[in-house]
Amino acid sequence: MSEEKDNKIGLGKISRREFLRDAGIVVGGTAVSSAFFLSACGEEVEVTKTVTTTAPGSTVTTTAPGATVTTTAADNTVTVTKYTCPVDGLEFDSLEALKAHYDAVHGDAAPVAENVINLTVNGGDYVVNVKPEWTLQNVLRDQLGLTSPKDMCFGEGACGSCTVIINGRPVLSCMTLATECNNIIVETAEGLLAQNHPLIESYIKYAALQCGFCTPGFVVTAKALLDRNPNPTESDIREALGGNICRCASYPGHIPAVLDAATKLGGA
Amino acid sequence: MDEYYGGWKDPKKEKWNRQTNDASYPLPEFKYTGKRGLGSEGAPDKAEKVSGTGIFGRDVSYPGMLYAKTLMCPYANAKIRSMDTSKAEALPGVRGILRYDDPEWKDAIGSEQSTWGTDTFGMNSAVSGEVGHAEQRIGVAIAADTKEIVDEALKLVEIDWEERDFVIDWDNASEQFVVFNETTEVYGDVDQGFIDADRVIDVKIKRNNTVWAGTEGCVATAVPYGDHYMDVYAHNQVPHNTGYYLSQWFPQCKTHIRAPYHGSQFGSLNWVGYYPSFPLTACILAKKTGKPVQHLYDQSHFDGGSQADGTFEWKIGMKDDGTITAIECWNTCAPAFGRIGGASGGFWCWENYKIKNYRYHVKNVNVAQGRHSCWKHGGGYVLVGVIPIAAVAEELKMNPIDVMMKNNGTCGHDWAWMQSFMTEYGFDPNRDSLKECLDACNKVIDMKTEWHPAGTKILPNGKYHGLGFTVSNQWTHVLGDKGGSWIGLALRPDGTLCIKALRGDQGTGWQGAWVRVAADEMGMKVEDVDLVGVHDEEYFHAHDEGCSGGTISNVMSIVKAARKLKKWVLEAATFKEDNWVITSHGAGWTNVKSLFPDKTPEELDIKDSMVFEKANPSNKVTLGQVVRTVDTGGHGGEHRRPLFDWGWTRNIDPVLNPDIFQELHGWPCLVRNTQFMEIEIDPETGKIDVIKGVAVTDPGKAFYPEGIEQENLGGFITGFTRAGFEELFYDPTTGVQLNNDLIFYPVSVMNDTPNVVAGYVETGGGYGPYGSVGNGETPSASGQSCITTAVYNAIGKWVDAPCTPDRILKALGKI
Repeated sequence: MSEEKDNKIGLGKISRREFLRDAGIVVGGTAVSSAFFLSACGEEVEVTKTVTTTAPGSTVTTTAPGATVTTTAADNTVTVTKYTCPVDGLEFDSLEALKAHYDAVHGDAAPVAENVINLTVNGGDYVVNVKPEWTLQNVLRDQLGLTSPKDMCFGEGACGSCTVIINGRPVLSCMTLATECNNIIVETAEGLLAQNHPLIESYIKYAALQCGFCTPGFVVTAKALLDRNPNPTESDIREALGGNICRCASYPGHIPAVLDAATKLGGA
Repeated sequence: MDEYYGGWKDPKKEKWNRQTNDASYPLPEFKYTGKRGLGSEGAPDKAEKVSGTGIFGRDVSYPGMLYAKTLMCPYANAKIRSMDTSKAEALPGVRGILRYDDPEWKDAIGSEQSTWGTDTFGMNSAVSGEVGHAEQRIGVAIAADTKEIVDEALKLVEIDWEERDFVIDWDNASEQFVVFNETTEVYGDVDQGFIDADRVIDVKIKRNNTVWAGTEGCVATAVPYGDHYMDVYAHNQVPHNTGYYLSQWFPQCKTHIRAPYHGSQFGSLNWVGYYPSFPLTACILAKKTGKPVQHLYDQSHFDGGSQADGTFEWKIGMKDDGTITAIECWNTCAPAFGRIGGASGGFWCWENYKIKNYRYHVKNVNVAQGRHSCWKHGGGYVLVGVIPIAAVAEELKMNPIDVMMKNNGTCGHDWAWMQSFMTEYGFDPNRDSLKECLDACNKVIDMKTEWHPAGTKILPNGKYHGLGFTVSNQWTHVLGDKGGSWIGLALRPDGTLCIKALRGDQGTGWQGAWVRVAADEMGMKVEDVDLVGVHDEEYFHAHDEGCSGGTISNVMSIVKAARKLKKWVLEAATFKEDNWVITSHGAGWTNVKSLFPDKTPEELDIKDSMVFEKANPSNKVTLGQVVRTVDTGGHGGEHRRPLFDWGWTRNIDPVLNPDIFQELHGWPCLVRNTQFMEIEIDPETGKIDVIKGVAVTDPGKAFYPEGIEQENLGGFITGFTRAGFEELFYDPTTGVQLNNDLIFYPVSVMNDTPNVVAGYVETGGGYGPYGSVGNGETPSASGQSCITTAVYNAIGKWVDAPCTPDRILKALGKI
């Protein structure tokens, strides 16, 4: 749970699609969800969720997309109902508060700009007008001109070459709809080069590549590993990089490269 | 003439371009060549590739660029009776359509008649209206605003198909599908070899269909400039050939070839199946629409099989001491490139051993699998020669190392002859490459003491124990056997050096090799050397890339160019004002304000990018200072251009140069590579566990050590996976591929990686610069035999490849 929590904290805002997807998230043991629908932009959108948490101790931190709630309960069971704005993801304690916020901020006449996403990529903020069928890979490659998310399997999610880091997690950008990416923080291999991350030089040092097409996907996956585990074992590295294909079979070189980077970062 | 050859004063030496132990050809100080730990400065492509900032073929993008694809046939063998494209043409966003009956497309591609027979491997099926395997490109190519519109438009094409009979398995094909069945290679007197044998045995192994499964799908981008010029970004290991073919079949425009990186493997649709027709289709559509067109082939990973696949049957004659007296091999397989397929193992054996007598037969069956082609070339070659070693070792209960050493030699000659040859031509006669490679492997896996007869060792855990091996020559040992090259060097006014040549990009080490050698030959810091970019023009041509024969051909040209350029630099530094110089490339110098006017070139040298006086090293200037003294003339004041020169290396092969081959008694190969593998096999599940592996090559002279080791590691693993579990399945009823994507086609991932170590020895036995040979292909090709011999040693049965658990259990009689 802690890792789930850590990775969600700071997310801030969520898309409607993500809200719907995660409405039944299990937190601390059991959960039930209910829904209330708000009409927005000619479409009914679920805006509520009820989460029942069970956890030992008296303090429970409940984390769901768009909200972090800390409660104290003597009996270790807490029920929280939140109303989430479908446009900006802000949460409110009542439907009335949500409606007031919606009218004041977004307005009845204001269409929900579903095709516009705000995202931070390698430290830069971008606003992108996206089409419903676009993936994050389309946005990064075609709109932002970043060439590191490669395409080996043609959108099947099989090769890992399109991997980027979203909010700390390695994610297949070819399997992530762009409309789900509002207010996310993205890191790509270009960003690692710009920040002079030790993984770049370590991969070069151990020549952990041949043709190099798949390598950025490996590197960002390794970066996410080191972020959450500064002292990885060889087994950890094998496991973390297990979803990436290298047809040149550069696999043995990745292990010393990642360990070397971990050492430079102060781990291992 | 001496200058032209860059110091090769003896025409005989120039023939073979051998420099080792040659006092007339002093070696440079190897400050960088062969050195580790140079980081990105020692391998300029690596930072780009690791960070994703390097431009690959599919990264090329232009405003308004259209995307194009060609229809793929849903049938295994079919012909178009008629086709209606009207609905596709009417789809909004469709900008251009080429039909198989359009003269502009059909005539251009249909006229291809290259020596490689690309007619059936490239896109001729597209314009012929006939295919030979499912998902082959056929009938129509469409360019549209987006990839999605292209896909939608292709679905709207209505075709009346004529379905035809097909066959998937080459072993069960009727005569109507046999396209070639002949004896292709004969060395010595094979019949007498079998008469002389103490024993004769037979072996049969089938290698089922594996595919390229490349990394970046095929792509070509054509960018028109006006009506008569076009830039073409090629996804090709031989980009200069793309230019050559386009000049013939697309005369409507002058095409200029660019060479981005291309994520890929060696060969296949990165090679002869690509360079004529694939970019040509992009060019025609770009000409037709007036817009940049990017032609895509997403299914290229699974188009065609491996040239190493087929059914191999051996008849092997041997003496009781392990000497092999004759090998006869029958190879049944798919055609390659539309011409004769097969492993050509006879020539490989001839080069590798002292065995005098070979006979090699090839039977090609026109299976509905697409053309089989080379990728990580040569797995079949190696198999033809390795299996007899393993079989003889088992038959005689000899250690395979002893069998290898017993047959050590080349071109039918024994080790003693090799030593005399090495002495005559200046190689070190005491460097036995095979022995050194075997000794290096044996330090990791003790084959000498741990080997056991096949199927005789059961471990305490109940599993079979097996030791496998493979041996091969470094078949790229012949200088220029993959083609010649000419490469330019430009020393800029800022004192940096640019290596200029159109080149493909493959393998690990070519950039690392190029900059290291150029820096050492020029006396420069390696960080002051870089290479031509993707968008630069192709005045000079490397051969292929860094792999294989490309290494020695290209590095040789760099050495020659560097030696000439260094000469010009020292002359410029000591220029006398009453002289006027025309350089080897025709440029004139004048108004040189020499920095060492009272010195001669012989009194100066270059080190760490500084020109200095030998007798007084503190008297020095930068290379940039020297370049800036040279005024190449022109209006409007001083003109400062790079100092420039170039070198070339010619192609030598048995067809073009029979005299050389005759004089050399064939082409003696002096360098080898070997691999050992230790495995365990669970008799209940058939599962193979690779306990340990070791791969050692002899590159002659290592330029970029980390790159060589990575090639050896990757080669071992890809060899293991190709013969261990990779297989493409077909529906026997429809002929449709069943696992043609990267979800279901079993390529290796990190957790499949065995415990393997890699190394190399340097015997200087290559014909390239400093005694070098190419390194990239052989480890992978060799590895495919390693797992086969290991499984045999474990269970005592020859198992078809891939050696999957079901096949092992079947061999054990358990299913």
